[in-house]
Order: sequence, then structure tokens, then C-alpha cells
Amino acid sequence: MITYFSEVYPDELLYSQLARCYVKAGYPAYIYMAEDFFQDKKVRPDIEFINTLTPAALQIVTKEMPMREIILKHTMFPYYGRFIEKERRDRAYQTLIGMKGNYNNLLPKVKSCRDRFLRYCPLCVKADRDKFGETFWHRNHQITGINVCPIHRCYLKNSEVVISAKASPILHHAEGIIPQKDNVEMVGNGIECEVSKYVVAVFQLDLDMDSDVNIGEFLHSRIIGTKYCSARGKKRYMELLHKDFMSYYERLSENRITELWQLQKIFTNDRSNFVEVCLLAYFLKVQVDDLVNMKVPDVPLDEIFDAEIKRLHDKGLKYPEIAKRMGMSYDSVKTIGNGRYGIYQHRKENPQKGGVRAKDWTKLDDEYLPLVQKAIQRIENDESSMPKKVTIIGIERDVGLPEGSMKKMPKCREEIKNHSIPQEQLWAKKVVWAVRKIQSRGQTLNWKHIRDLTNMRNENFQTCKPYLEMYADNEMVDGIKELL
Amino acid sequence: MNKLADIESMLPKMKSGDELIKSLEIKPDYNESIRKENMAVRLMKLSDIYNVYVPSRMTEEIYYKLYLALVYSIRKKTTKKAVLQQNENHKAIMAQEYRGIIGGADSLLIAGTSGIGKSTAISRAISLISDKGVMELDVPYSFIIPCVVVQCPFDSSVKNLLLEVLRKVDERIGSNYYQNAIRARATTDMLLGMVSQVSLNHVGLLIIDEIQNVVNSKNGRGLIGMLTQLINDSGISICMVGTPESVIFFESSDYLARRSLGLQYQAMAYNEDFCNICNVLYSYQYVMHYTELTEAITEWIYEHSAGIVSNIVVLLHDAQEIAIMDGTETLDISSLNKAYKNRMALLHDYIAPSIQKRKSTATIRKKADKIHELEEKQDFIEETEQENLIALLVAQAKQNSTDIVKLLQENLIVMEVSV
Repeated sequence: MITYFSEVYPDELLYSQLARCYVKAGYPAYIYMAEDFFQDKKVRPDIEFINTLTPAALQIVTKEMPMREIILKHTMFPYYGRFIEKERRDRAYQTLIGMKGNYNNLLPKVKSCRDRFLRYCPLCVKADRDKFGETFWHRNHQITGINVCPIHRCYLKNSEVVISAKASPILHHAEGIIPQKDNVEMVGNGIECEVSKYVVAVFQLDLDMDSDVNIGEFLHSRIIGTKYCSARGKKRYMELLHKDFMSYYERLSENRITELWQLQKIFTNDRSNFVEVCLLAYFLKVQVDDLVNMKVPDVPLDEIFDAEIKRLHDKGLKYPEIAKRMGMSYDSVKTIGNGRYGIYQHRKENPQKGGVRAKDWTKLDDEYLPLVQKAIQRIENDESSMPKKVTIIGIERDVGLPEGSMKKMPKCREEIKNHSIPQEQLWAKKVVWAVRKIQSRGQTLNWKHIRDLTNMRNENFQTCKPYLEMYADNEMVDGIKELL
Repeated sequence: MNKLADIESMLPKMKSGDELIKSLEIKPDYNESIRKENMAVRLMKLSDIYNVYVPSRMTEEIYYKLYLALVYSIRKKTTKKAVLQQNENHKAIMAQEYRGIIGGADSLLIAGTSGIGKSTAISRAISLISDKGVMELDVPYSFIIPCVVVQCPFDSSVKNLLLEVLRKVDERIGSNYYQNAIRARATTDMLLGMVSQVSLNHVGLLIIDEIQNVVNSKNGRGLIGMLTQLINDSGISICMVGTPESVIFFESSDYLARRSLGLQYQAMAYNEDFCNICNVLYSYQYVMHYTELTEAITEWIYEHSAGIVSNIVVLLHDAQEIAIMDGTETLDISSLNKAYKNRMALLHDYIAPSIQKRKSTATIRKKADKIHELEEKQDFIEETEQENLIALLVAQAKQNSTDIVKLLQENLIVMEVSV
């Protein structure tokens, strides 16, 4: 039983809290703590997020605050998830709360050839020791791309703790790693400090999980009316933007945006690195609150612009006069006025030319739905072979669709999702199938025979017991439970 | 939400005066009608005397001392030094260099003759102090046991004592410290680090009973040294309980003496407290004929118990038992005397009212010879019945220049006494 768990400090990583618990709870070795806290005692503790905890540990960890708050306030999720699209952010968030699934695939983690280390600010360490008697790993100091402490304006230092999947499974507590005395290197560069302050301010504010505004859209709305955007608000002058951006951050020690295409990708929502977005937002003089609570105009500027041209034209003004008033070229104004603007630019299909035809996914979705339902039924009712999970890839293969097709077929996806079962339930189904097979062969019913057929481990067998009643009668269930 | 900073408010309020006395005493129910019941019922009910507890000044003092020691210890846990010490203790567990930061809380020794009731007094005090049981904290999530009582191992083994502390803590809060220590095959140094950490996190006051075991053991000093280190590394209060021989041990050097400042008790004097105890115990009569407690009986009880409470209880209990069984059904000096002679023979040397028996000056003979000689003497006395026997022996001693005591011993039953 867990009988000690340290309180959390402000802006502390959950990893750090667990490390302090390991130190203070009196465990003679790390493995005993791992047995108490982690489902898999050999797992490498996740520095930035959270591992799957045992039920007892989960109860204690969430005693002071619920898991969703822990994820938002004590992991690096706001760093990775703030500017990605809503659906992906929600999935990553739910995965973290449930401690299941691979959130690493959902969050845009930066791959670097350089090793990353846990970092600290020597002056923050001193302040922590004065206030609490010990120091801890701050989230603010682990933001990749920021090298300066926003409070003390000194450079952050690397500790010896490497953030790597190859590191040994152990918890490193800050007080034992960070030396008592350390050199402090102050920053002479004003922009470095200002950026650091801005980034951390954005990081610390609450993440609006309901916001579905894309970062590209938002930043585009903020360049409207500036020299980086046309009057109508549709065209971005990226070269000028890139040039001024690079000049503005000339003295910044770490600026990963070096090429124009990198900036462009932010506007097209293909690049959502937290620090890169903040750099751009800071450059565009976006306030912290505005960046955190992103809003775009309800009506796009180009529609307002077009409507204004039409209004003026309907009023009786000629196109040259309108062009002069709107600050646009005569040709553009005339094209808009004639309603031809957009037709050439946004043609989706050109039947005169060759190439891959765009598919009507909605129609395909309806067409394949009955096939998908039949495939699901076949898988679920098949008793000749070992029971399988109903998965998207499996069904795609079964109905003859290319892999990845179901991404654009929501009805089929929904149907598959409704029939997917938890792993423990599938194990129960396999066990019952194996028992029936053994009985039909006239063999002795024992654990060894079941294991030979199903290749299941004992611990999996134990977890599937509650689901056995769904697939067998009471007599059979009792007989199975007695086996192990 | 219970926080560590507020833990002092979670302790039961300190009692004093009459309220304390009332809380400490235990008086089983007694109804006069029990004396009319049959023998079997009365004999069974007689054992209630052992459950009677009458608090004395000693009990009060022990209560106050333990309560204050606990409060002092608890306060230490809320300081910043406790946080620093936790990190240092971890270094000890990892077999690294470490230091004591938090400093000792309160350590004391309660010494007293065996049977005067110190263990019972401590037990009563603990039950009042730990009235609310184990304290559960939310921030940080932890449990604090107000008092943990362990026994000093017979061989003063440091490891055994440390493991015993872990085991006791596990018993109270359901942890796995003992198991983990065994699995990890912890060395003594690691164990000390673990116990320091566990004590800092979970223990208010550690009571070590039978501390006199350190006196006759070569590991004794080592054990006391370990306890000193435990105090320095955990900040908890430690109370050692033992017999007077442990006082002599602790007096032998200054650092030991400093750690054992405390309470020393002897057998009760013939005073108001003693009379009060006798009054209470005497009122629990299960014999058919009730007798009042007179001053003479009280004095007799004092002389035949040496002022030791456990002896009083045994006397009153066994006297009634004998009275019920032999049919006399009266609790008086006669039944008390029977109990003293028959049931407390082994204690006579330690009690012996008014007379203190000295060791024989003559050579100690073999027991078997002695018994045979005694029988012969008895026969001789019966045969001769001479009044001038002593005079004859004196004359013989003068004549032969032999020791008169030896001569008397050869012919009579002689007992030497101190003057």
C-alpha cells in the first residue's frame, strides 16, 4: 500500500513529483516504488507526460486534483497540444487522461539529433530551496526553443538527466542532481528575455480545449491590414514577412525558422510547434490573451471586401473610382465586381485534363457501409478460427479498400468503432473459444491447453475473467475460473 | 483537507486535573450482589481486580511528559529542516554520505522498579494521546502514528530493533516497509536511513520498552548510539522505559546521561496515594462476608507489598481466591497472610516486612545435607526438650573455643538477621 505521496509544487512536472515521492517515502530501491506506482514496473518513467499508473497510485495522485487538471498543469501537454487541430488535441488529451494509447503519435514531438536534458535555472533553484527546502523540475524550463529563465533573465542550464527513450528506468529528483552552488550566466540580449517571457506566459495560461480555431487561420487574420497581406486579405506577402521576421530575430540564439517554407507551413496549419508559433505571434504583436483565446472574424475579410465593392458599384460608382477608394487595382476590382474572382483560382475539378479524379467520399461511405457491416458480422460470428478484433485496417482489407480510406468515411468508421471491444473482452472471447475447441477435441481442460491455443499470459487471463459471462454460461465460467 | 501544517490541531486536547484522572482510571463495574453468587461465578469475576487502574502522580507525570514530547516531535515535521532531512535520509538509504540536519526532539528515560505500574501508566497515557488513532493527512498524503511502542531486543541487536520499528509501522498503517527492507537485504546503515525516513514521515513518539536489556549486552552502547543517530536523523521524540539498572548504565557517560533525562520512580511510600489505591482495590470484594479496610490492614498490606502496586493486586486477588476456595469467605489479615506465605514465597526476599534477612555467615552446605540435618535437629529437639540446651551449647563453645553460631546451627534451626 502506498502510504506517502508528496504535495505538488507550482508548475512542477508530475515526473518531478513522483521523483520526490521516491526519495521521501523511504523506498530502499527504485523497483519497489515502481511496483507501487506503475502498471509495468519496468517502464521508463515519462518525463514530459504520464505513465500508466496502478489503480492505488491513480487514486492517490488524483486526490488533490483531477487527472485532467494534472495533464494541463503538470505535464508538457499545453506545449505540444496547444496549436494542433482540435480533433487531434482532443484525442491526445483523452489518451493521456485514460493513460492508454500512444499519445506520442498524436502530438507533434520535435525530433532532434542533439540529446535533450532536463534543465533548470540556478536562481529559481535557489529560490525554491529558500522557500520549500528543496528544488524540483519546473515545466517552464523544459520548453524546447527557450533558453532563458523568464523570471531571472539568466540562461537555463542542462542537468545530467537525459530525456531519451534509451535512458534507464529510474526517477531523478532535482534536489539530488542540481548542485548546491552553480554559476549564473545573465542574458545581455533583450529580445531573448522578451521572447522567453512571452512564450512562458502563453504556456502558463489555461488551454481552451473547446477552441476549434486553427493557428494558421488565426495568424492570417492578424496579418490582414498589415503590409504582409493584400488589401482583400487573401494574398500573403511571405517573402517580405520572412525577411522582416529573420531580421527581427537576428539576435535570438535559437530560431528554428530559417526558411520561408517553414513560415508558410504555419499559415497552412502544417506546422504547429509551440515556440515557432509564439515567435511569429510575438513578431506580429499578438497579445498573449489573444493568442491563448484565438478568435477569427465571423465573416472573412475577402467576403466583406467583395460585398463592399458590390455595394459601391450598386450605388453607381464606376470601377476605377472604386479601385481608387479601396486601394486596389482596377483589374482586380472589375473581376470581383463581375463575380469572376475565385472561379479560376478555386476550381477543384478540371475534366478536360487527365490525372487522378477526386473521389466522392460521401457516396463511397454510403456504398461501403453495408459491406462493412457484413464484414463486422463475419468477424464477430466466426467460430472456426480464433476470435479477432474488429479494426479499421482489418475491415479495409476485408472489403478491398486501400489502407487509410476509412479516414474519409465517417459512417463506416463509426460502425467499426461501435463494434470494437476492449482488449480484456477479446481475451475472454478467445478463452471461451479455446475451451470449446478443447472440449470438442476431447482433451483435458487445463490452463496449458488454453495457453497453447491462445498464447495468452496468466495476467491477461486474470484480467479477462469479468467478461467471461458474456460468452459462456455460468457452469462453463465457473469451470474456467477454477483453472487459475 | 488535512495538511501537515495543521497537524497539531488534529491531536486530542491535552487534559489536566480531574478530567485527566477520570480519563486515566479504569474501574470495572462492581455490584455488591456478586457476593451472593456461587463460587465459580465469583472466582471468574475476581479477575476484574487485574483490570482496575488507579492513576497516581506517576501516571499524570508520564502523560504530560509523553504528550509534550509528541507535540515537540510533530512540530518538527512541519519545518523546512524536515524537508532537508528527508533528502539526506535518502542518501543514507542509498549508502551515500549524509548528515543529520533536523536535530533531536526530545529523548527521555522512564525508569522504575519492576511492578510499580510504569508500563501500564504509559499504556494508559498512550491510549489517551492516541485517542483519534492514526492521523491521515491529505497534503502531503501520509499517515502519522502518534505513538509506536517496541521492545528492546534481548541481545540489543541494532538490526532487530530497526526491523521491529518498521514492522510496527506496517502493522498500523498497512505499508510494506518491513517487507521491502527484507527483500532489499538492507544493511544496518540502509536500515537506519529507512527507519529515520519512516519515523520522520509516520511516527510521532517512539517508545522503547525493556531498555535495561542494553545493560547486560555487549551491543548495548551500540544500540544507544544508534538511537542517538535516529533521533538526529528523524527529529522524533524517543522514550526509553526500563528498570533502575538502566539508570546506572546511562549514568556511566555524559552523552548517555544527556539522552536519558527523565523520570525515575521507586516503590510507593506509605502516603495518601497508596491508601487511595488500597481503598479502591479493597472495595472489589468477591468473598461472601464484606470487611472494611482498616488502617491496620492498610499498614499490613504496605509492609507485605513493599509499596509495589502489582504486589498489592496479587495479594488482594489471591487472598480472596484462597478465601473463596477454602470456605473462609473473608478478606482479612488471616487470608492475606495465607496469600503472602503461599503465593508470594518467591518474593519474600524482596519484600520481607520490617526484617531484612542477611546471607548466612557460615559456609553454604549442600541442600540435601541441609534438609537431612534439619530433620535430625527437629527430632533431637523433640526428644530432649531440654530448657537449658542453649546454656549447654554456650558452655560447650567456651570450653572448646568454637564459634557459638556454628554450634547453634548444628543443633537448632538458626536464622541470621541484620541489626
